Amino acid sequence: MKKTTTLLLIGLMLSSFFFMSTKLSIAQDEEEEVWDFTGVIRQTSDDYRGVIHLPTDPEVGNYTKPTVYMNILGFDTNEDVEMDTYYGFWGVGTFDLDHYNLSVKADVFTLKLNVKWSLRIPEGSPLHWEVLYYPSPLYEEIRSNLVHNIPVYYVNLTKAIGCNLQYRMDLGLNYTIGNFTTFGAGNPLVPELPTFPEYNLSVPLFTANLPIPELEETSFFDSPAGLISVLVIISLFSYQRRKKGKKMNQS
Amino acid sequence: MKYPKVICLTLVLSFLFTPFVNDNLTPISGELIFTENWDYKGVVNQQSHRVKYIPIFPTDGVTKSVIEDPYRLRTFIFFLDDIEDNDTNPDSIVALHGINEIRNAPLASLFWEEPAPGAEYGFNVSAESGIEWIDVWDDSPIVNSSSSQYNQEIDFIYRRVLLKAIAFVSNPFLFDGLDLIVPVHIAYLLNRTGVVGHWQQINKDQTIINGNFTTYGPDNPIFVGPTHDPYPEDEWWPNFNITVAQNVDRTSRPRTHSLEVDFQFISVLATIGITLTIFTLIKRIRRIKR
Repeated sequence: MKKTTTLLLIGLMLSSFFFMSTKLSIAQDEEEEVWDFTGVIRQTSDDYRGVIHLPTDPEVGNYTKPTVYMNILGFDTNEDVEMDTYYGFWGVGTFDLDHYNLSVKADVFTLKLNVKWSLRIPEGSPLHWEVLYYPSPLYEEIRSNLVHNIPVYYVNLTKAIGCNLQYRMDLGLNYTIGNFTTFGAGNPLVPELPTFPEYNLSVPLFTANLPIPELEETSFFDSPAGLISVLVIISLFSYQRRKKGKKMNQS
Repeated sequence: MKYPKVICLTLVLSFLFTPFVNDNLTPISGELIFTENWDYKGVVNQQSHRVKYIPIFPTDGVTKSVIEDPYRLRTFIFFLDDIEDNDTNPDSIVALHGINEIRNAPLASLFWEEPAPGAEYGFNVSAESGIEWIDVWDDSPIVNSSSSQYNQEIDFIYRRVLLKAIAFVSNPFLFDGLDLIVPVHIAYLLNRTGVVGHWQQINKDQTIINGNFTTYGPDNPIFVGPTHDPYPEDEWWPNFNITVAQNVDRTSRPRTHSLEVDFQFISVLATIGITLTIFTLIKRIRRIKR
């Protein structure tokens, strides 16, 4: 009777352990899948930054009209250490948005090696990824700056006002999250100058810098899976000991 | 003493199952129909007997400057020598139009782009897809501008072939004066999308490369961005028809000049495993008998 109970207990513990670990992995997968893509920058030559609009009359009152850029980044999306796909964003520039209580950190966008990027177009945005390749004159123009003659997937952020692209960057033990929000008619960069700067501009907004949960140091008993595995090992060990003891007694 | 048997069995089983659990060992399979029936087949004896032609167009009649075709629809011209005859002169001319080198396209072949002098080539077009060979002579109505069957595209391709034949092939048997005495077999691969033909290349080192000609276009795009659903069709690439030479399979003829290995590696492992098991069993039986 005792043997059956012990077996049942071990079985229950093992099954709960497996059940919980599968649930954990499913939860992780779901979190990963929400991004349109995830990739790592492998070489410093994998990026290209081109000016698409340089204002001729930059000063308006106390403000300077921002320059608009197109960024193209080469990512390794299949973890084979080689760059394989170009992704880009069109219509980006930096502008101080303290008056909106929004934080713009241009330093975040300096290219660093082995940074894992994740990008996605949020559900509410009307934008989509576009393919830039020949015979587009724009592609012919930028081609000499690209290391590889392959297409570029990019989002034209100037097409719609509002939050159009969200990012996450994993660097070291932390990850940075934020989004590209487009300002223009209806959502001006400066509230008192509604028409400034007369063109749409997408500003990379900084939301938070958080520790990467997988890399956080945690105690062994913090997770229920660890506790269960210890219990299983102890019960298996005691069961084995008892079995051996019985055999010894019999002989 | 049952452990050696269990260990042997585990070893054998793990060796046997390793190829199935490792994803990297699973070959990529394409839609290749292996065939030995090639519409045109022959050897390219010289590097100049295989020509990649990128069309150029005049920008205006005054400056006589030219531009490259922005769509880069290249024509591949092969001057093939018949395998059966004993000479090294080209006997037939094959021109395949519409192929471009698209990196990152599915199964895009790098072998196709590299010249392979001495290689044996075979080509066919898929009749089911609606592509047919067009045999063009100098007096064919398809290249005669006054004819109702005149096709400007084919005429351009024929003129290109003629130009290259004069420039690169010093073979008097192909010409009567400045006219070709053999037809030019032209495959215009852009009329349909999907698998429109097949090719095979057997290099001098006996490597066999089998592949498809697959045409992509607005209804069969190559690049669609990271999110597909819902995806606006006008943002797909390409929005014009283009053919990709894919290599689906690369294998080799038995190489007589190198070490011949005519057994499978896995069978060697299985044999070792089985021998160990038998050895252990015999040992065990002997011990029982004693």
